[in-house]
Amino acid sequence: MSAARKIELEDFIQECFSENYSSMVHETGQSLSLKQQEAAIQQVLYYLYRMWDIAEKVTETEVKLVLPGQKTRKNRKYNLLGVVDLVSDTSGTKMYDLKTLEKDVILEDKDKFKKQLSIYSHIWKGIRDQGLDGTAIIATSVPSEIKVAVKEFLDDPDGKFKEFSDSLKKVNPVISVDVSESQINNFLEEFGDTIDKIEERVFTPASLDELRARQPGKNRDFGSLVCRKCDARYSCDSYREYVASSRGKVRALFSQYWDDEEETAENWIIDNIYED
Amino acid sequence: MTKSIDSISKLWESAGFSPNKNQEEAILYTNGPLFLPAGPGSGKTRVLLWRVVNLITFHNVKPSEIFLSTFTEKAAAQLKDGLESYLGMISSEEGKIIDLSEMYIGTVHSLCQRLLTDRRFAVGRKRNKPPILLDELDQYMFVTKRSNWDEFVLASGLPKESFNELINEYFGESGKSRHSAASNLISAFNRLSEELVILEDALSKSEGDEILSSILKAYQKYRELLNYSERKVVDFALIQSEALSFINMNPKAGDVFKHVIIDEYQDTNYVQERLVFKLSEGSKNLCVVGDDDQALYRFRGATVENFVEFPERCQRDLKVEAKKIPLDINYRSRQHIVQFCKEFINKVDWSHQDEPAKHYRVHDKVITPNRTEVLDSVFATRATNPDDVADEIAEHVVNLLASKKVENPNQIAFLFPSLQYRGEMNTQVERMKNALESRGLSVYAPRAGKFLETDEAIDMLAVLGQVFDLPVIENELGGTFRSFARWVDYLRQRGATLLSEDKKLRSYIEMRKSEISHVIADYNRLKKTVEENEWKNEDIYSPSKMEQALIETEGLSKKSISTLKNKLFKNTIEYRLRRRNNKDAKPPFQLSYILRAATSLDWTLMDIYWQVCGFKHFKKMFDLAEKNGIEKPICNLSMISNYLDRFSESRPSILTADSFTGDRFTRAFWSSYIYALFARGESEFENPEVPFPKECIPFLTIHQSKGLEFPVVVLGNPRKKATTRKIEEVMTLLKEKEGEPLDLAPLFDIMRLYYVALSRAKNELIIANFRSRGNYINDEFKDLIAENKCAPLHSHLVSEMPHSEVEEATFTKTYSYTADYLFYDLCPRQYMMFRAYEFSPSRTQSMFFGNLVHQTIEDLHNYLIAKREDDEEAA
Repeated sequence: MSAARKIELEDFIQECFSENYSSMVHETGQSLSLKQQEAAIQQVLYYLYRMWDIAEKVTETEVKLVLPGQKTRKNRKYNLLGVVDLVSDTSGTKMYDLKTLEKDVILEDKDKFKKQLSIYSHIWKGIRDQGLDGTAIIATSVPSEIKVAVKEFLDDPDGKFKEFSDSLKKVNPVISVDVSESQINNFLEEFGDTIDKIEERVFTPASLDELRARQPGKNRDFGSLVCRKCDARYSCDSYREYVASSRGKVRALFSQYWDDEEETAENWIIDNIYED
Repeated sequence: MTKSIDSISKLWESAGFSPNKNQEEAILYTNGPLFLPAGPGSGKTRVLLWRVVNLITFHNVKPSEIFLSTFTEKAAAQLKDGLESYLGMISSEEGKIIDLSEMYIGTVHSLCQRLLTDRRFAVGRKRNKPPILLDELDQYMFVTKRSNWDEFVLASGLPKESFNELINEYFGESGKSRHSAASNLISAFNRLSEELVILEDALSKSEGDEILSSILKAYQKYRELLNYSERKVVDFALIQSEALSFINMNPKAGDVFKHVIIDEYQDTNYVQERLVFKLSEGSKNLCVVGDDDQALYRFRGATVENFVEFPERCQRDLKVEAKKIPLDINYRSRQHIVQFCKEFINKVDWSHQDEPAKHYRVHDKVITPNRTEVLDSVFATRATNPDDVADEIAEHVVNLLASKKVENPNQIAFLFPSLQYRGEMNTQVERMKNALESRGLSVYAPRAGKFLETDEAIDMLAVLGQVFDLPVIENELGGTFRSFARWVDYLRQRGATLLSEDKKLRSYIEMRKSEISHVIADYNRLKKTVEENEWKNEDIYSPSKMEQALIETEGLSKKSISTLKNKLFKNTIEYRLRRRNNKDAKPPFQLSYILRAATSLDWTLMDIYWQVCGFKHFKKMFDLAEKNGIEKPICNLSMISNYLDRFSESRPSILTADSFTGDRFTRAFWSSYIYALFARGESEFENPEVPFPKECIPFLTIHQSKGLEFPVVVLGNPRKKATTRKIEEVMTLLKEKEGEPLDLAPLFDIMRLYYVALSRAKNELIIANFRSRGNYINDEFKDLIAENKCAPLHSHLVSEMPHSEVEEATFTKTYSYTADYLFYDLCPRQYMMFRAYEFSPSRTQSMFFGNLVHQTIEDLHNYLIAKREDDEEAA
């Protein structure tokens, strides 16, 4: 990438990023702390420089794929919608799904993504008279071993570019996923089973055992990783049980009212108070 | 394995569809403007769907080259599902899937939003920044916002004291209510926008009408205020003119779509007409479908002439002749009903007074029934007082259900011109409802009541009222204010009761209340320190000079001290101070900001809402949905979360001590926001997918019934007075229009309204025949009954009725891999809350983060793709 191109794209990203950020603040009424904003832009820059070969050859983005005329095992008709993040023309047509997760999380949960990409590529092949030469996930979360280099580059884009570029060689965010055409019918059946449950209004929460299960790629359980961010936890039987059986501060506070550990949110507070 | 389908008739065969001659012609006609007057039950939706299928499958039109609009989001969703189903059938035969995501299907409003960011229209393909769209409630809040309102008053030049009264009087209402004045202004503003009125021109025409020119000046101010902010802000009316001027900038705009198809064309307005003519300027393939006899929306600016005069306007604007194909076979209703509808609409003379050959309606249509059973199907009750009429009808309903001729009460619809009168349930509606309920039947009337008067809304707001002080409203005020005051009093009582029933809830509320008083106390102490040091609020905060003194403030809580000493907080402050001379950087913090930060609460309104949901009284409602499938309470709770979220979005979500000074929060939340919801009479939750709960008899407005059909229809109030609305006079003056004459239009509208009601019935139509002191029905009905066009209800034998089956939905729903499958897989209950019932979450940080990264990378790619295309073009 030429120096001029580099400046042009970095400027474009900066501008776009702040525009998107302010629209989203407007639309959702929420905001991110400075630290989170920084992490977000780091992911974009990491993507740009590490994945340039692919990015340069992207031909389509946000491709909506609809598979019509499906039937569940209980004979309900439905259409299936999937959205592919990127299609790139790098030695053949390839489909990429972006995830803002850490690579380890994806590796440990690969089966889940295999299903998704198998279905997407199945629809793709049906719609287009065009084959597909590969499917992969790109984990945009900046790997811990290069976090320092990325941060230094962000503080000093010209001075630290070389170190940053070198560090990129140590990591690879692409995780190839082999799709399985032979299992498609099973995958679609599973999808259909879920549709049946949704239509039948089966809304039992994840069980206590599930809440206690360690999450892929993390050292925390479902209860602390997923439930703690869910507003519906206060009225949820599974979460109440989970808290009742756990120890320490979480339990003490929650059981007073059902309340749980308050997150310390100074950054969030700073960014959400109005200025004159 | 790919076999090609050589003709559409084979497709019809496999879909079990055998079109009549006109339907077939309408589906297959592809060359030039097409005018489809479609009577009730004439299968127009099918015709539209097959038209699109035909275009895509046999004429190589790409989905992205089709623009298909209709009147409601619900109808649009049905069209889309219908298309997916038909095309799905083709794909299973052809082995090729057709992707519809690029096709324009939606309401004109939503399609305008899409047009504004469509690169095909932008000059130089650069994506246009879409304006921020205000929906009706946003618009109301914007107009009634004190500072904006004062500007309108000032701009109008009218005296402040009598402004509301003068405006209301002008529109034929009495009283000083600001709510009425605002509603009147808003509907005038919308009309001015939709009719593309040019201000200078209008001002000169309004000379001599002082109030009108004042309104025009207020409108001018309104437009100015909308343009104040960095990003353009538009309302529903203005988004359309915005889209029109956007596409007008591109000379090739008329070639982007090869086919423009507009459903419910009789209810389009002026700007929409201009827009669709512009879009079909190149292809000339503009197909309009509708029924002038079912035009219902003049009060929202629709002009039925768009439809009636469509052939002339094609000649004038597209310079070609439109092909007219009437869809005139009614497949819905029994013969007697079809005949009655026809006689009803012909009770009025539709011809032009000076040119009798011309008509204000498509007058040459001949609607023929497909169902030819010779059986009485239209009935009138005895001519008597409303109570007895209600009893007669209720008894009949009981018999119908007992005989099992009608399987479910939700197949019997009661239709009314309106369900409310000035915020209260209409008396005739109430009578009918009582008559049914006293016989053990249930009624579902979502638009008869106010959302804020449902049990769930009252209970949740009553509890919130225990944390956030309810306003004290002086009782001498009249009208809406008085009923609001009563409602607030009830909230107070109810809140106290709920707290007395649940000790934990009470102690929770007390804790939150004491947190509020603690931050207020801290705030007052800090202000004292500021005064003692002779600092000012707007002084720039300098930690080295000020921090110590603030921290040493007597009695300051530990929490405030730790915020002031917080490292991250201080870093941010220092960072801004260092960059104070850089003009692009954000300015350093002022002292007032620091005081707020040091006295902030670490919870928001949404947090309180969600936490309160965990107490037993509310938890029960979630359990009902989760364990018993009972949905109504959870739907209303979800709607409260949506309203609270809207309030929170419009301001900084953090609450600080300053948010409470001088009743600030009480005024903003209760007296302004909740009052607006109350005054506007926002109605109860309606589920668009399951519109009428089983086991309940639906009570609907005629507007609500548009596009629907029921085995049995009861016309619950065949009386409505014709009145000319002031805004119509105004528009006639400003636009020098030759539309329907002002004195006839109101009668025409009433005829059309009732025509819609009558034509909803499939097997049986019942007319309430009020005749007693002060109660009567419109002349047209009276005449038809006198002419024996209806059979008497009391002699009607239920056993003669055909059996009505409950129909299943025919179209297929679309489910998303990530938003449905993966989400449900994560936790079904979380899915229930946030996807199935669409609750608003308190913070969406994790999604926000991912969306921001995704969006920015997507923009980067689009930028790269566009650049590459430019380079290729240049080469």
